[in-house]
Amino acid sequence: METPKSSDRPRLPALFAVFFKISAVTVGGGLTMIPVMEREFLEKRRWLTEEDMVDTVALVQSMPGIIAVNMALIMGYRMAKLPGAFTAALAVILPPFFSILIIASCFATISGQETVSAAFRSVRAAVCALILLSAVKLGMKLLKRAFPVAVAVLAFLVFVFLPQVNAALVIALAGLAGWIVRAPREEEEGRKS
Amino acid sequence: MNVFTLYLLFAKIGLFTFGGGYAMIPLFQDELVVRHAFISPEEFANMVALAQITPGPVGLNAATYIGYRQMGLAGALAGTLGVATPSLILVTLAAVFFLAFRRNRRIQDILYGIRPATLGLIAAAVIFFAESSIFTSELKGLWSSSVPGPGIFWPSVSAFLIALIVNAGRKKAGPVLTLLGAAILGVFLHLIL
Repeated sequence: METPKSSDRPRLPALFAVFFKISAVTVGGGLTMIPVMEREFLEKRRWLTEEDMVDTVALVQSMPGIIAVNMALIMGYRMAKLPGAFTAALAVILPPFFSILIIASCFATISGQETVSAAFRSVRAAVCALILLSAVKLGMKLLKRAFPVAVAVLAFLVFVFLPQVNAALVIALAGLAGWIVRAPREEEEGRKS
Repeated sequence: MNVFTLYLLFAKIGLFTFGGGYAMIPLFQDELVVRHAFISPEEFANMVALAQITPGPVGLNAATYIGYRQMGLAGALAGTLGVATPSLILVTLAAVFFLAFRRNRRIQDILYGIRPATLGLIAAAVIFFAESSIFTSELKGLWSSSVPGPGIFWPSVSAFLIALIVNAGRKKAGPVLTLLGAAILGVFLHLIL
């Protein structure tokens, strides 16, 4: 891990400002933030190296939680240790917190109207299409062997037909199954390249 | 239910979400809609749509929104801090001990099980969203004789298909345009039909 030269190292207020800006303008969050972060931290400011970026993306995908918060924690840590990590995370959390507070308080007043509910019914159908497409895309990437196919089908069936089973339990058991079965090593190599 | 229990509930969701964004939806749905009935399926689906077109990470937006609807400002704080807490602990540890985490095979094994399970749950969430938009009742009616079979809501089918088409190709419309377009289509069809 390469530590930036001290002259390149950001001060906490600047770090806060950049993460705050990224969180406030990026719609969709998660991995859509990566190109924006690359522009801010690599090209414009040189606070991080290309290698930092690649490492961060790899690590973020094996950690639980919200991707944007996780990226902020790891990048913030690399740029300014623990104070950097917490500053960056706070900066990412604040903009959506306030914008959603405003939206949530307005939304209750309009949601009763018939035209609004017709609009939202249609929007829900479109969300359904978006989730389906992302599931298909994810499926094409993951379902290349019998084990992942079996786990995906089982998780699907359990969630649809046995609503009394907790989704978190499904995830935990699947993790245990992976631990027992073990990931094929060549696939791991393939992912890195 | 008090603010602390709400906080723990969101922390549990944050802990079992791998992959961010859509991966969080089935867990939210399981805990908040099915198990605790905090919000109706329709409002949940609307909220997921709003979370995608407002700036900020989808998971944070959703947690803030649901927390606010449940217990006002305190609930919004509990939701936001709840989903972020597992990240703050685990990801910070991972950032500090980065090298130990990056090549850990056991973590890769566990994820080998968790990733397809998450996919299965996301696929199941598609059905759930379809029930609150395209169909007029739950799909249970198809296999359970005690529940009447669902009808189809045609204006939503058109929104679903259009959303699918404009996002399936190489050039995608993206969530913001898709969902705004769907809202306009919904209002238009509502007014002329």
